[in-house]
Amino acid sequence: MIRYNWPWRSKWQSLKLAMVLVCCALVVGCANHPFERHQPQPLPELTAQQLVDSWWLVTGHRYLCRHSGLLEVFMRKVALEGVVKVDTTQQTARLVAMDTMGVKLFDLLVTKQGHQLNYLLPLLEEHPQLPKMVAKSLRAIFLQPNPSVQQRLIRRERRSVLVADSGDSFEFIGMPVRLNRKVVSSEQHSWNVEYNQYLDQNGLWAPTGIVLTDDSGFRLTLWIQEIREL
Amino acid sequence: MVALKWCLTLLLWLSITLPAMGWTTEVALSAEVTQRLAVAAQQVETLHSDFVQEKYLSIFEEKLISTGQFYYQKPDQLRWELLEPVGSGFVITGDSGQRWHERIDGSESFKLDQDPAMALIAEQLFAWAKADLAWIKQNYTISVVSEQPIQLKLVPLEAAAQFLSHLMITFNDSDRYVVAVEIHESDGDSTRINFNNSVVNSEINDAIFSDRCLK
Repeated sequence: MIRYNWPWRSKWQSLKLAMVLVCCALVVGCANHPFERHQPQPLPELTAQQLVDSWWLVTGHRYLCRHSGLLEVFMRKVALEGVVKVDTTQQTARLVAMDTMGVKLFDLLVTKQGHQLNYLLPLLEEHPQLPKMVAKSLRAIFLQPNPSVQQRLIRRERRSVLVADSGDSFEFIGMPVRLNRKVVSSEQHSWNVEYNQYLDQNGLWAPTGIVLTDDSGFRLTLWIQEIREL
Repeated sequence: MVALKWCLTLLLWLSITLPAMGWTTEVALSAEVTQRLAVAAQQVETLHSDFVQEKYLSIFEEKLISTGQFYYQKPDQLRWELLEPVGSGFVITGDSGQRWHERIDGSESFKLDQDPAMALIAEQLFAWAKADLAWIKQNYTISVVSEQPIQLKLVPLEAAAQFLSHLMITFNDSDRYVVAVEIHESDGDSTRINFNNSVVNSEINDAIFSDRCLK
């Protein structure tokens, strides 16, 4: 695991830490986007059902996904390698995260409501927030919330958006049609997930670059190396 | 007499088939094997190898393959670098080093005495590169699985025993360097690192041990 440590270790640590906390959202928000983005092609008039059907995490499937990840928390960066098994029927995601030497860091089972920590490397016991943050991010990326045909459909020239009563929105672009962005916003807490660089992965049309940005000050980027259906 | 012949035949058959089935006999580390490794290690000034790392995750029954390269120069310089699927690595000279990752710009300095995780990794790699049996004996119970080539089984003595079952270390025919390391964890996961294209005592440019950029 690569950890870029806090550079603030002096007696002014508290003051500087406060300054960092104020600036962190800006830093994460302004960080370079790691994936190329292109102007999407015009999207034909698709129904909500057609949009929902294009989502690769539709229920009834199990996937195994190998990825590398970068967790950015305030000014700190943590690089991880991982394998996640997503069960869209059970709505669970099981992750084993490792460092680049193959040392297992933690093993998590994430459900719709919570998570269970099956293993944590003893050296990481002083950082219990790390698996919690990753669990929350995995739920947002792979499990909850999901686009649904019951949601309100808004059509634009190059995008269609499904909007839930809660305000959660799911933006689709084309062609081929794909979920581009998931946004959850409330007065207390907002986050969004971008799904980039869709590729055919063993017959599955799935994103290979995923970015979760959380306004509480962290960002998780996943580079998907392989996805296959189990 | 017939019974005796039958017993001898059975013993002979077992002695041939059990090793082939993975049932091996382990013996305590002898003075002779210790001496062979110590003498061979003294002849190694530099070492360079490519490696293939296979991580087996028992819960997914999945094997993850990574490749990289390794450099060592006596007494205390090391470079460990993964090239595929994601580039990352570190260099160490003495008690300090630099580490990097493809997903993060630049590199980060570290001191071994302030970074327990890196110190643990460095300690292991130097011990194997130097065949430092004195250090290894302080941390593991060593038994010999094979003498030609030398293959050692190491069972951790203390804290590591919580998550580490044992290690298997295989040396090359000349005893001078390690060709394979197997790390067996208590939960059924394992990592096998096969070293290949090893070159002993070639000249290694100092830049190899200074930072991430090689080419």
